[in-house]
Amino acid sequence: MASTSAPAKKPASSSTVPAIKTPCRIHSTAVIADKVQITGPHAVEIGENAVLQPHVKLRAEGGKIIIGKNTTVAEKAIIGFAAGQGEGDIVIGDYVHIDAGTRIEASRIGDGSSIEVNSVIGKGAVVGKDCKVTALNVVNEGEELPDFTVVFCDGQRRIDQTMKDHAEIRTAKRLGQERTVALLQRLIPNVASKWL
Amino acid sequence: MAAPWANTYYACPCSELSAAAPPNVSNGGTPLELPGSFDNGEEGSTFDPHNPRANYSLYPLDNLLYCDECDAIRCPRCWIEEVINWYCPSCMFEVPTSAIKSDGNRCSRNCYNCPLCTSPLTISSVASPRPVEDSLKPSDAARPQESYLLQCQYCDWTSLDVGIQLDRPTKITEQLVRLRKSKDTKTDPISVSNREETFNNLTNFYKEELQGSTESQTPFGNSPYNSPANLARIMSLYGGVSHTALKKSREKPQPMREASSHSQGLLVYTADKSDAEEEILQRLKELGWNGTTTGEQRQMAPVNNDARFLGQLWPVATALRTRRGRRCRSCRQFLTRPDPKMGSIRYKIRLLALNFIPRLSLKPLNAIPPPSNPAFRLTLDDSPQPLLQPFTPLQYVLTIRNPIFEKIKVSLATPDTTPGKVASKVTILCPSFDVGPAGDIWDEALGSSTTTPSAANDGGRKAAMASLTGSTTDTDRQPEAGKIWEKTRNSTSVILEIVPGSLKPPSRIVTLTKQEREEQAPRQDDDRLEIAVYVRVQWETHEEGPEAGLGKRDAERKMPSGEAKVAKELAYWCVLDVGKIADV
Repeated sequence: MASTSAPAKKPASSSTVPAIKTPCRIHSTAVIADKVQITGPHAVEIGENAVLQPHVKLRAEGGKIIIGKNTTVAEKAIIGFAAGQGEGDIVIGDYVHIDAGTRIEASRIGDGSSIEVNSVIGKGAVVGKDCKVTALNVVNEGEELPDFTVVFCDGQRRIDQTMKDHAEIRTAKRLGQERTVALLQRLIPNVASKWL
Repeated sequence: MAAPWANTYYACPCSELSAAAPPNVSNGGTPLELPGSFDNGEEGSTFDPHNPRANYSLYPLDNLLYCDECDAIRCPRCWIEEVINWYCPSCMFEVPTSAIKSDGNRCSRNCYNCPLCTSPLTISSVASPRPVEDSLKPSDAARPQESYLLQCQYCDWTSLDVGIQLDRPTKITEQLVRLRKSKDTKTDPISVSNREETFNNLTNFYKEELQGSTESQTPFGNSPYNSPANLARIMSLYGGVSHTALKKSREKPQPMREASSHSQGLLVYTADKSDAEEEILQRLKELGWNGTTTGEQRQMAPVNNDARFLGQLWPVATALRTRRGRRCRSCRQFLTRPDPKMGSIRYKIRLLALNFIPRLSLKPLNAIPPPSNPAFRLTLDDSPQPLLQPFTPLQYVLTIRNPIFEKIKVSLATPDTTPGKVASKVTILCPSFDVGPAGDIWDEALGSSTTTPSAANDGGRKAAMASLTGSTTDTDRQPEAGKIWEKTRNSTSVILEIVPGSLKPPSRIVTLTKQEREEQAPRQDDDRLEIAVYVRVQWETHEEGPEAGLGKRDAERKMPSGEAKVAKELAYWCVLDVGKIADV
């Protein structure tokens, strides 16, 4: 287990089991903040311009984690599950925005989706493209959300027709995400090198 | 908001129950003399806190206001609320009352809410597709116009869902009204504008007809329009016709016709709308339950009242809110009035009862400190109050705190035994005393000789030392009848002796009838020991000037000596909640 942000009173050497460094493939333009925790024996791939903010936990203990390009993961988000709690790869697409405090155990999150504050995506769920899970909502285990679904107001679901019918709105959203990434890249000190 | 642990309730004198002064109450063995308005003729019964109606007149002090014109406590029943102004919660723009009457209580500017989830909508511009670079085009050629849409930041609903695309980001209401009209015309040939036109035709036609109509010679016997009186009533409902026109019609009796063509405002109902209904049914099958609107969504705005499907929901203009003032019911003066400046949460006038009437608080004389810090208590029931043992004398300290800047004379009165089924004995050891005036906090700190300190709590160095070391000089002090217990600058404490009664009725040899047994059966809250205390406060004030607050203090300072003083008096019932009596 490689936990660089672990407190000094618990050195890795004190453990009888030698720590396994997570095999990481991180794109040179990705930003990994200090205090990000990446654990587990499975591979972690982080794409172009992806940004992981402080205190994000990537638990590659049950399978691979792949994060696409221009994806942002905000503070205290947990992606993956702890050892013994499940198995399976987690693929997060491009231009995805994962907000603070979310717990993601989904098998796939489509491009351009946004998962808002403290929401939970259950094990094996598949979130389609350009979906939106609003704050504090839950996508159940194994559920499949079609593309352009919005989960809002205590679990109501609807298809966002505007997003579906208008390519320019989708483009505008991607552009907004790119700008967010550009801002975060300037604000967050990058310590990606220590995971390589 | 009232503190959850408040154990003192104040009775507003507005109800008959609490308006009466006590008839025969004793306080420490000496009967209280009630002069003036509280003579025997006006005495009523003692206030009974267990009376079911008492709940409607008892309030925590924080929930009461005070009218300084009437010199009386005011409860929610004694004040009337008045709308001071209307404003939009979204743009914080104040809307004049005249505009409310003409335009309705919706924001007429650019504030709209999402029809699905009620969040405020924002105006976003739609990125227009980039024009193909044309080198031959002059540089000052007109650019393609940007379009705007209303977007919900929460559920991502946009006005494009109902086909609304705006030309400019301002004057949204005007644009929406225009779009709505054009949409109605497209979907329904008898659209709103058409209906208005038809109605105008109808009105004009009948106005003309009225002029020549008559009561007797009308050929339309069974029609509802057969008499001008009926017609006048109908027309006054929908448009109105003047009294003179009606008079004229009576003078000139002419046969009256009914509208018979479209130009006269007649619309004939045709039953060939089955296609439309079929279409609705078809859409219902396609979209399912999730595609239909909920009752709440339909009721949110009149524009959506007829919307069947989510795709028909129109943006909802933000409903306005009000800021209200409270007036005294009897003298109509403002008791509270918010600051007229929008965005300010201050009050311009706020006459809170706690700034005018003395606050009573009760605590045990030898209080046992709570086992845990009350700040960390999760629920109120976490640490229950110890039960009161019947027939065990208990001593409590009753503290009266004076909020006004005048010295007050307080007289307390309470019945010997509490009314109700459980008769507990109550004695106030010192029923009549003075309480010093309130002042700045610094007065007490700077002047050590403002009051006559009785014990260690005089606010001085000695008291501070005593509280730090925990050594008090008067641990063996005993309460005495007729003497106050403790006195600070603006508060005085007296001792209250209570002997709780037993919940069980006294044993009898004679068997009781069923009715008597029912009467004696304990009801809910009978085991709660509540003491009704009649508080009478007298003070002297100057004839002019406010009665409380710093203004009064300043006025007093400026006033020449020898100014005539006015005696004032305030009397009210107060209920002290002591606790529950143990059932032994």
